[in-house]
Amino acid sequence: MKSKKSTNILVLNCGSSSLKYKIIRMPGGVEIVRGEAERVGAKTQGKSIVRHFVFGKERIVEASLGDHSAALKKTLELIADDAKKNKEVKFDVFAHRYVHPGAFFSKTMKVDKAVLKKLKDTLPLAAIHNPIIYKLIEFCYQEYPGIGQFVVFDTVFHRTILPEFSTYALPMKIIKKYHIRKIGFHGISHKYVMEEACKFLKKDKSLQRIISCHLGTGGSSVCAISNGKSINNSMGFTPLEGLMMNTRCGDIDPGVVFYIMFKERFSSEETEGMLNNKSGILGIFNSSSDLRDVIRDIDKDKQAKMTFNMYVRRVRAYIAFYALILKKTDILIFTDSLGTGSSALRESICKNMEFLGVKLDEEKNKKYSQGVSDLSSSCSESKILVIPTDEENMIAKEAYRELVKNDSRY
Amino acid sequence: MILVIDYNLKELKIWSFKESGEKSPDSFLIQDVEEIRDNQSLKRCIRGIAGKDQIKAFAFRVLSGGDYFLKPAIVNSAFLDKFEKLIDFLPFYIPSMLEMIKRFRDTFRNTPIVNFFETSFFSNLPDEEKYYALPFEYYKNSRIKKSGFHGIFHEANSGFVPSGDRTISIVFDKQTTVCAIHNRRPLSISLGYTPLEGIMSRRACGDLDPGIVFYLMNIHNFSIYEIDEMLKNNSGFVGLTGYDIELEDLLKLYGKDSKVDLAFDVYKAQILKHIGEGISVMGGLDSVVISGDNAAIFTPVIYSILKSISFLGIHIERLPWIGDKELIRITSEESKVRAYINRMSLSKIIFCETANLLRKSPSKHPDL
Repeated sequence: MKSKKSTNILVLNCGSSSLKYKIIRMPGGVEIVRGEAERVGAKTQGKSIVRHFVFGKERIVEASLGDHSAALKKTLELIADDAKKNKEVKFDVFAHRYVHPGAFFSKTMKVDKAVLKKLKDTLPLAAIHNPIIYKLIEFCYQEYPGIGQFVVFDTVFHRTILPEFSTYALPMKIIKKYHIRKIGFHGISHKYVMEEACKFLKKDKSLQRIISCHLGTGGSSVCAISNGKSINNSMGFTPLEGLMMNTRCGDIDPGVVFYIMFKERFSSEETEGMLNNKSGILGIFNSSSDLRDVIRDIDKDKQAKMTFNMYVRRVRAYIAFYALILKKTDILIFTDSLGTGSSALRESICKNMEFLGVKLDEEKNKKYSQGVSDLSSSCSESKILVIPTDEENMIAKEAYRELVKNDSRY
Repeated sequence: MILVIDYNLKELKIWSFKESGEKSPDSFLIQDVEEIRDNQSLKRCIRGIAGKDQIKAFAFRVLSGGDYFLKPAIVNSAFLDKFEKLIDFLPFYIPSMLEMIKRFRDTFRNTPIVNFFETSFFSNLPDEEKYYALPFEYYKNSRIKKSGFHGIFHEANSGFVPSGDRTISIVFDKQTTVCAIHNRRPLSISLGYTPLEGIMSRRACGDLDPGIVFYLMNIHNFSIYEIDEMLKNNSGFVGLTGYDIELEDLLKLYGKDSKVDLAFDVYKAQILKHIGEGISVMGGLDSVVISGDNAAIFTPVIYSILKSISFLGIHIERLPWIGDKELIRITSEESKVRAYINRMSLSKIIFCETANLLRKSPSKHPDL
């Protein structure tokens, strides 16, 4: 029997204010290195750091992380340092999470010149994410010419969104000509937590109606999942639509966009920059874009309270909407840094949701510290789970599957 | 007699009501405002409508009261000064409206004129609903915030159910709006700062990813004017189906034409989104009240929406919903959530409110 060649995949997962990374040995999924560069670029009250783990052993490094390129360089430096001490610390392949592939790609791709060229055309589609990820791909392409790269797309899981939810009420000829539809994002994460939830509860995913809340310090989205498929997502054609995020406005009257451009004489680029980079939590709270800073100040700062209320209100609105289209919710999932990290946030989101069958156990919620956990009260009809997401794991699996398909040595 | 007036900058629609509440069989339409360009012609025209009856008041429906008019207002000189301040906010609408109000005032100096604003009801929306997540300092200059719409209908709808009810009020009119109301206070409203936000209409898009605007401008070189025109006038039902026909006629094609099916399915999904938003802020649902000129036409749509959320405890009666009263209950007696159709017209609501106001404060009018 032919033995499978093992490959170490360095997964790079750019959030708008973070860079998560892992070296995962495939097949098998053994994690060799993991880490996260936190508070990259964004205006926050804390210092930028890299949390770096080799075989579970943690090292925290303070660094100046002005942008994602600086974060990647610091990450590669740390890996190179460790490689000198441990032969197992190495990587053979890069795999990137890519946010918005437009109409160009609908599956995981190996990067070559042609793919790079097409990716470049997608940069304006996700003004915050695509350019920074593209920059990292370009950097790896130039600096590591011998190492293959794969891009795994965040949108593929949402190809099943139902037409009544994916269609904007625009002229049909515009929709068709420019491929405008709700694309949805965070698909890698929503898919991962859906599978983990069903595994944890020993339920068949094809029978579950799930609402997944991916609440991050960068982007956030809510996803309605029925029979293992995404049927709606709060993000839209771009990641600007939906919930209020760290610096993104989320849902807004399109008339306001025109008003700003007409009245302020802003260019479309200036307006887009304002809605993507100066709005959301940062826009309302002003002194930080991180909801954890908002929660810390909530009792002493009126603006913090309003920011928190605005954030919670929007998450609750999407949960209720998705509960209506699913008819009943079997599982409500909280994931990513805010979803797993803030009991106050989960409590506020679940408050007075009994009419939808959602009742949180306040004690369990307060005590939660890590891992997969059921926080629902015994009288809750829906299970309420906290599941730390592991997009990198999913990305490594996808990249390895593509690698094996295209390389006879595997 | 009270005359209720709806002026849309092109034409005036007038309904006359006797004090008993009896309405004239038809509304009167002045198609060209030139017909009433001076005091004499206006007086002649109004006399033609009212006959020999004494006109107790004129009541205008006004689309927006901005931050200034938080309840109905009787015209006097202070009103006119305040109203003029709204010109910056609605530069096309307010000057014409102001001129029309002044024309009535100058012609009928002893007759009170009451103005009802479609936005007043929303003046105390909660902050977290009112504001968009834009840079906060921007509000100080721009005053951008949700102003809402159909406040006259929504407020009247809330009056049909107990104050403690958590109520979803839906108005099916040229615009469709969904409002959550608890203790007579609106807690959410689907329409925002402009009529573009919310639920699609015959020609306008409703909720939209703002990123699409930038995508079309930055990548495909659309001008802002082209997009503005597209979203306001070439989208909605007309855009999705390609049929530029009345919604009543379009609905007849439902089930027979896939484009029409999709358009109504998108429309229903948008309504559901805002119902979801409303019940999330209220923490539940006790009643639904539906009104508006298109409510009768849209009964199959209303039935389909309420049927789809029956798991909330709505036991909807089968169509047709028949009744000779203004308020028809459309849920069964055992239904946990009560749902009603309010068939009272906007003009009747305005008439009733005007009559109430005059009864409460007959001497408030400066010229009386």
